Amino acid sequence: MSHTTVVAWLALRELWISFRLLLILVAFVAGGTVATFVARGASVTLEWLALGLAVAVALTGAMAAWSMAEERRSGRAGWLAARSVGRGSIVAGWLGAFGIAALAGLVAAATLVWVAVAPLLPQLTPAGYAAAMAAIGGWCVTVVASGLVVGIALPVPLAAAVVTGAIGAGVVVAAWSWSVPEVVPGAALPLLARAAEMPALAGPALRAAGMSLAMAAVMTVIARALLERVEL
Amino acid sequence: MARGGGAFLTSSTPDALWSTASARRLRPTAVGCSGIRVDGRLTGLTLSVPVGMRLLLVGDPPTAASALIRVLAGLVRASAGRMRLAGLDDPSIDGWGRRVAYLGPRAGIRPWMTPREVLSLATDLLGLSDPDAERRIARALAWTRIDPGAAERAVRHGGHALAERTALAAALVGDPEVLLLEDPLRSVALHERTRLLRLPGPRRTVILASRYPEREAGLFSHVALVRARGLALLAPMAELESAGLPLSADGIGALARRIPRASGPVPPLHEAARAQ
Repeated sequence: MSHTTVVAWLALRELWISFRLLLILVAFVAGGTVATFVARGASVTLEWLALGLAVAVALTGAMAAWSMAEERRSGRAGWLAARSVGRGSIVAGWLGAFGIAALAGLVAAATLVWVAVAPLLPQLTPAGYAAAMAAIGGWCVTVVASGLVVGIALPVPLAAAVVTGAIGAGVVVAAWSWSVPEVVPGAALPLLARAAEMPALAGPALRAAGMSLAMAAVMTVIARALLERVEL
Repeated sequence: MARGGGAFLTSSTPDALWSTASARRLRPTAVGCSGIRVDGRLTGLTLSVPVGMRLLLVGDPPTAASALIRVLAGLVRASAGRMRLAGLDDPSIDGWGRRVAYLGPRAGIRPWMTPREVLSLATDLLGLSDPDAERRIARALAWTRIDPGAAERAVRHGGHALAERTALAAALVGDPEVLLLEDPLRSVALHERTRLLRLPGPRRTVILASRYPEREAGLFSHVALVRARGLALLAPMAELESAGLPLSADGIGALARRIPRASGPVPPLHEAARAQ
């Protein structure tokens, strides 16, 4: 078993024991549930879903920042590093654990909303909807990687606050205009919110997914480079 | 290592080889570093520690000794300098990673894990086979006196002391040739801490950075004073006693002032071993 797999498994267990895994799943599913049962009208449902997912992603990013900062503060990251576990493996393991948790919640929320809106919006194709969700998943990974960067650089409470504040501000701006260029990570949210009006969602959503994944890769590399330099 | 109670954590190198006259003459170096620089805490430290030495490191300021231990353990990156541990240049698990262990002031143990889980994880990371791992885990638990009941309960139920014992057991489970300690076992009662740190094995090198050298009486054969700009003293503990100086930061500082040049001759292997 690779060191990355060991760290990812440890991180998943850590998230489970501390109820953080449950909180992530509940945040995503709650976003989907509220959009499905409270919002009126299919297009409004998608807008609410976009907002709900934004909140869940922000929460996940904040928890990633908090978790990484706590790993450093408590000496757990040092315990692994002193056993020749590469610092890159520590970053990749935590990214994987948060990614698995968030994607599981995202799939559940997306499925719930799809069942509700698909019969009402014939122009919304499964491929387009899936592409939008893939883009949001990519953005979520970007946010988690950014959270890890902040968690490596800052102490525990500050790290979580910075990520929550930054993403919260971004979501408010996006919700105000609902028009964000596709090259911006997180552009999938406005795309999803306007999906009912868009004849072809798959193309822009896939471009947004690509940009998000590219940004996630960049943030992961930064997180690794940063962790290599800090004291554990 | 408890002789008498059976060999504890033995290595594959026969004892007879280590006790030969040629080995004593060769005085292999367990820890060698030169020109180590760490963001102002160390500015070019050079140190050579022979196999089997029990070395107490005292820092002036205290962060200097901690910085050296943490650099050797791979927790801090040195901005310059070279290190060689257990005869190897490679810090990976295929290099000295398997032969060196570290225990610091923070146990770094996840409180929801049981001591046995922690030790299993440590042996997994070392790549030990299952039967070998089981043997080593049993010995490490016995040395740290973690009883079978406690070994199966989450560490959080045993408080800081159990977490620190577990961390020590996890450090010992790989039978390290070099053990790096940084103010370890703070929550363990002094007499028990002394017993835990009196690790047998003539070829095991133990280096401990301490802010409170008074607590380390009877554990070490040599003492070193580390300053940011380099090593101010490396002397047998007996010199401190013969000078009538106490085992304290002030006493060690006074000895360093009496001995003009740092890092006296490297002691013979048998001398270091006898100090155990």
